[in-house]
Parts: sequence; structure tokens; C-alpha cells
Amino acid sequence: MKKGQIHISETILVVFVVIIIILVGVIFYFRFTIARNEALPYELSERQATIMLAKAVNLDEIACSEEDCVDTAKFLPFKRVLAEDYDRFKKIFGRKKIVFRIIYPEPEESVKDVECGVAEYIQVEYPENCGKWTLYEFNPENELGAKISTVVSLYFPETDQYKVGRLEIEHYGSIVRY
Amino acid sequence: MNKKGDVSLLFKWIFGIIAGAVILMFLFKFAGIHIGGEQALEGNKFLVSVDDKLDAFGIGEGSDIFDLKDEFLLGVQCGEFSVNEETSENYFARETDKVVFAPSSLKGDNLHVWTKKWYFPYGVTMFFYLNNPQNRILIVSDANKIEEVGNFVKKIPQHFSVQVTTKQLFNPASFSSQAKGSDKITVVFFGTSTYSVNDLKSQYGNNLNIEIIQVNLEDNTAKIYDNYGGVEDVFFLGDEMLYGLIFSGSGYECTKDIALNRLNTLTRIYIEKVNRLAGKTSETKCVDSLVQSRILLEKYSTTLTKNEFYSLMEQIEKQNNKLEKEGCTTIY
Repeated sequence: MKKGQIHISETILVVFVVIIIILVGVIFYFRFTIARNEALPYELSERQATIMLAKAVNLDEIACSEEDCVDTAKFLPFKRVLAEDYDRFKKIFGRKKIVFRIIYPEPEESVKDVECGVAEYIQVEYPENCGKWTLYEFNPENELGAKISTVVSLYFPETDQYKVGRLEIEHYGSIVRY
Repeated sequence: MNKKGDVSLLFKWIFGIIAGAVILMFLFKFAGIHIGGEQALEGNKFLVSVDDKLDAFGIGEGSDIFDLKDEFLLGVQCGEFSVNEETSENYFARETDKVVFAPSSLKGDNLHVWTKKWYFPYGVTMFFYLNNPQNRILIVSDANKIEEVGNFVKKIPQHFSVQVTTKQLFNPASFSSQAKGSDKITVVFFGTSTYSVNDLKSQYGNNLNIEIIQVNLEDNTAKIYDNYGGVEDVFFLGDEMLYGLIFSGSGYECTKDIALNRLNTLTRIYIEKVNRLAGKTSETKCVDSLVQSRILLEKYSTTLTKNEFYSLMEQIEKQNNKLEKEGCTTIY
């Protein structure tokens, strides 16, 4: 091989090695950035769910007008309005499940997971005949969610009684608005 | 001189330049994609952050100054937040469910926030009032209304720097220095306006966005004279909405409609609640009062005029008090 050809081969090799090093650097950088950004929607979703926990208790659609409590008599009307205006509420709540449960006095085991619907409401035994209200649920991709909860005061205007309840928000790892 | 060596050296140079240019182009392209992606992320993160901060802050009534850490151009349109100019490629918008009364654009590194619950007669929603020092609000009152107007303005947090004066003392020239560094000036006349937008433009210059609002407290109505010569007749329901009018100016009507929509949703909930409660009550007087309440609420849900809103609001309030006195379950 001639000297000139050896020089050219050396230059090509150096350029090739430099390109490889740059490519490896870029790939690592992108992988790191993508991994960081992939975690972002979940972080934001969790943050939103935490804010929603406080916001939902104070939402005028379900809150008591004066005291710091949740008016259970508004739950069924709210669910009806929500069904009529589902798109608007999807924008507010996003991919979540919002459930209120009675925790004290503890409901009987047989009714603990019974949804308080219209059929239960019209019965004389209400609210002893059911244990929870699922106010909202939107999980189109059947994702596994993470749950956060807080204790709330539930007011029953029908009997002028208060019970201890729990608000549970299950969020599904996305902050997409619909 | 060795001709072969010359050719080889020349070839090496050409090869080096081409290879270097390709590597540089690749690096520039990479930097461009990275910067674009980061800007998009930054813009969206900023909007999510502002929206979340307001969500958290809006749980109760209060006021604060948000430090945005950097200078941003925040747009507040009807039910939407945006960042940067609409024509810019870094423009991002995000829908919001909050009822926000603010000038259409807020430029700066801080955001003045005030939240106040709107009751009419029951709690409807939290109102958000946003502003910054670039948007000045000046209130001019008739001398005979100065006490009433003064009490109204007193409730606005001091950091909003809303100034009050009487019509007799108001001289546009004395506000020239404040107008100089501002983006927008809103002059709110309680009573009749003695100046037009053009009068103020001749004083402060054509580049400044000027709006005049003429409020009629007796009638709960107002006229908005915008920067471009447009005039709009509007009404307000309660002081909270009047504050909204002052803060948002020409963007008021759309935000007011969102608030009225929210009132309608709440009213539909109360109709249903009262209806169900009537079915659970055994006392005849309570059932009668609840049925009466439902009729009032049904009328309220279809109301469109300001006078009807005020009249029905008072009737519902009275009905609620009556239910309370009778020992029955109340509407709200």
C-alpha cells in the first residue's frame, strides 16, 4: 500500500471513530431524556390527583353550602348532571375514578361495597343499605391506577346526620385533557 | 514538488471538510430538535404549573403574588390559558375549567392572584381574578358615590394597586407617567364617563391598550368601550361579577357566560336534590315548601334576563330561610 493511501485510510478511520463516539453520546443522551420525559406525565398526574383531592371536597356541585363537609344529597343529582355534561367533566377530572365511602359508623359487611344508587336512596333504610358512591370514572384504556385518599365529613340532610367518609381518587397516569 | 503528494493532501482536505460539515450539520440538527423539544416541554410545563397552582390556591378565598421565575407572556382567553404570542411557533394553549377574569394578556415574571367565591344565592364557583403591574386599573367615581365605591374597592387586595379618585379630581395628564410603562389601562367610571377612549389615547399615546368601563350601580349594568372603538352593553350579578368586569374588561362577556353556565349546572343539581328530598319527607308543610322551591329553581334554571336573575335569587333566598324556620331540610 502506498503512503498516501495509508494516510487516507487513517483519516477515514479517525472520522469513523469520531462519528461512532458522537452517535453513542447522542443515543445515550436521547435515551436519558426520553426516560425522564416518560416519567413526567405520571408525576404530573399524581400532582393533579393530589390537588383534585382537595378540590373535589370543595367543589360546589357536591360540597355543603356552609360547613366544611360533603352533601350526600347532591351525589345522585351530580351524577345525573355529570352524565348530561360528560365532556365538560372529562376536561375537569381527566382519567380518574372518584369514589366516596362511608367509613364510620362502619357499614355492615354486606353493604360495604354496595353502590348508593336511586334504588337504595328511595328505600327507608337509606343510608344504612349502601356504602359508597362512585361519582366519576373514566379509564378508556383500562390502565392500572394509583390511589390516593383523604378523610371527609359526609352530611345526610334527610336525617340531619354526619358520618365519617373517605374520598378516594384513582388516577391513571396521564394528564391528557379530553 | 511531488504532484502525487499534492493530490493526496488536497483529497484529504476535501474529505476532512466534507466530513466535518456533515458532523457539524448533524450536531446543529440535533441541537435544534433538542431546543425545540425543550421549549415545547417548557411551554406546556409552564401552563400546567400555572393551572395547578391556581387549582391549589382556589380551594379557598385569598390573594397572593405568584413568582413565575422567568418572564412569560400569559394569555387568558375564554376558558383557555396560553403562553407566548399566537403567531409564535412556541405558542401553547391549554383549556381550563376555572372562571378566570383577567386582561387578555399578562406579560411579566409575576402574577397577582385573588380568589373570591361567587354566591347567587348559593355558592356557585370560585372566581379567579388575575392581573400584574403592567395592567393598571383606575376607578373614577361620582362624588356622591365615593363612599360606596370606596367600600367596594377596599375589598380588592392592596397589591393589585387599584387607584380610586373622584370625577372632579380625575385628570388624565396626572397619570401619564404611570401609563408610560404599562401595557393596558382600564378606567372604570362609576356614573357617566367624562372621557372617551380617543381622549385618553391622545393623552397616553396610541400604543397603549385603553378601555373604559361605565358602571351603573343602580341598574347592575355597564358599558365597555374597548381599545378599537367597540361598545358593549353588559350586566353583572353581584359584586364578585362586577370585580370580574373591572379585571377583564372586553373579555368579560365570555367569562360571564361560563359563570352563568356553572350557575345553571348548580341550579339543576338543586332541582334534583329538592325533588328527591321532597320524596323522603313526611311532613306536609315541608313537602309543600320543597315543591315550591323546586318550581322557583326550575324558573331560575331557564332565566336569561338580569332582572329575573335578581328577582328569583331573592325569592330562592327567602324560600330557603322559610324552610329553615319551619325546621325542614333546606335547599342549600
